[in-house]
Amino acid sequence: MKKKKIELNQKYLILIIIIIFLLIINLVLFLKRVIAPKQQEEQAITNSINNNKNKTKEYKVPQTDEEIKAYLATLKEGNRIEYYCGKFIKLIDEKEYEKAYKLLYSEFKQNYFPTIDDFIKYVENFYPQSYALEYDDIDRYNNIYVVRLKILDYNSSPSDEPKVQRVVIRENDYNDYVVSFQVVKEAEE
Amino acid sequence: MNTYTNFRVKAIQFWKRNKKRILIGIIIFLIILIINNVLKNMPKKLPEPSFSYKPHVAVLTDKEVPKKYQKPIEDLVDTYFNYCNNGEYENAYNLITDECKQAYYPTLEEFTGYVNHVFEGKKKIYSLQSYSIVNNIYVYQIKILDDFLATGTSEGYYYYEEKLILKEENGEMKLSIGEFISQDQPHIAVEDEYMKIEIFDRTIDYETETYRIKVTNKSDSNYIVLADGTQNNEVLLNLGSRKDNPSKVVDTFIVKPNGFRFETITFNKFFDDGNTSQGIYFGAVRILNNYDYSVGTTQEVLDSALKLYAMEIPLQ
Repeated sequence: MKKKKIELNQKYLILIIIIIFLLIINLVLFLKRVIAPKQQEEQAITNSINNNKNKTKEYKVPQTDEEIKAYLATLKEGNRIEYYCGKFIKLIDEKEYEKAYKLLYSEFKQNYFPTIDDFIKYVENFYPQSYALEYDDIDRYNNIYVVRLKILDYNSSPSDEPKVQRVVIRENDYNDYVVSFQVVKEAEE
Repeated sequence: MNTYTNFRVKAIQFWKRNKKRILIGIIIFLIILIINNVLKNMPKKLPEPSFSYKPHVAVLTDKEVPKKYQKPIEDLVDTYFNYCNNGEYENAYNLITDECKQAYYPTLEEFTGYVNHVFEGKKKIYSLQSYSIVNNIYVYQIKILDDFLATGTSEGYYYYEEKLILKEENGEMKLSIGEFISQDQPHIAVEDEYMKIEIFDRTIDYETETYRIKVTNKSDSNYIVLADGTQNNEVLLNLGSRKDNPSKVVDTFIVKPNGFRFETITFNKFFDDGNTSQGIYFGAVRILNNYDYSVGTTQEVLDSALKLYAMEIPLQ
């Protein structure tokens, strides 16, 4: 039988290359859109099962600056301010005084705590050994927020009035803020 | 030559002829791929932090101050505030409308006293918020406070608050302070056989309307008692749907025979409450032969009155 010669001219060749290229793209898209979601779904089911086993174990606290910023971007204005306030108090609670001192507004520092030792002395006198915080109120004046906190001392008797602390915060950007707070004379001495 | 050999020969020929083009194409494709990957892996730009603060949206009505006025208003208030903060009283004074100066702060000294009272000789900051918009008059609420960030509110947590009034005149934004809105001489007069009542001045501020009224007694023997604090509804501001009492009881609006008397009466009325003052209503006008100031209007006096009636001075 005589073989029929197939003459491949240049046009056919270009066409073949284009078709192969398109096939590759289609294959990639198929793998991404069809196979990957299935894997994700399976992964989600696995995660959900694991979460149910131990929820706290799977919860990821934002650690890096990027993660914190991304987390803050999901929060509303009031919640962001509460976050900053809580972060500042937590630093004091964990005796990370240097970090807390760095967050203070420069003029406030000059006015009330020219040295970090002044600051440490004050906060150690003011804050109880063990306490809980309750956010009472937030007022806003342009870009300045005044947060009213109640400090509930675990060691005080139930009849004792909780200490009240006003914390002033200005947010420049996500996770970029300055803090000052109401200095109570008694604790200063 | 079989098909495979034919394909190889053609492919090699094609490659030789188009080597440059294919290489350029591959390079362009790779560059696009790299740029795409770099962009994909770049850290996501976060949206601007959300704020609920909208200084030009009126809190009472949710209406927004026209965009073209927003910047001029901000600039004017900021300039005025900074002059006050820096003790440049004259410069600040010059930014206020003549009408407001004339009505509330006729001299620079009086204005300086006001600024010192508000600023307490300290550096202050302020917060501005549109409050209401009525007939192209823009009412802003200004809160003047210590720099809380610098004090941490340790020196007190309070602020001074008033309404600033801004309106456009001859293409320029004008500022009135002290909640002053307007003052005019309406020249409204009402007359009957016993008296003539004229409204000389009307001063409107954000919370009150004040009228300076002149009453002339046309008789040479009768006393006219418009108000002595003894009767109900002696003086009222007619707002159409209701009538309001003055902010302070008027207790000596009495005109002797052939005499005249000026009386200034203030009514509490918010500028942006949606009501329009229709008239000043005198609900217990007494025309008497005589009047004993120590006794006032007793039942006996009412019984012997020449005439008892009510009248209203229209304000529209």
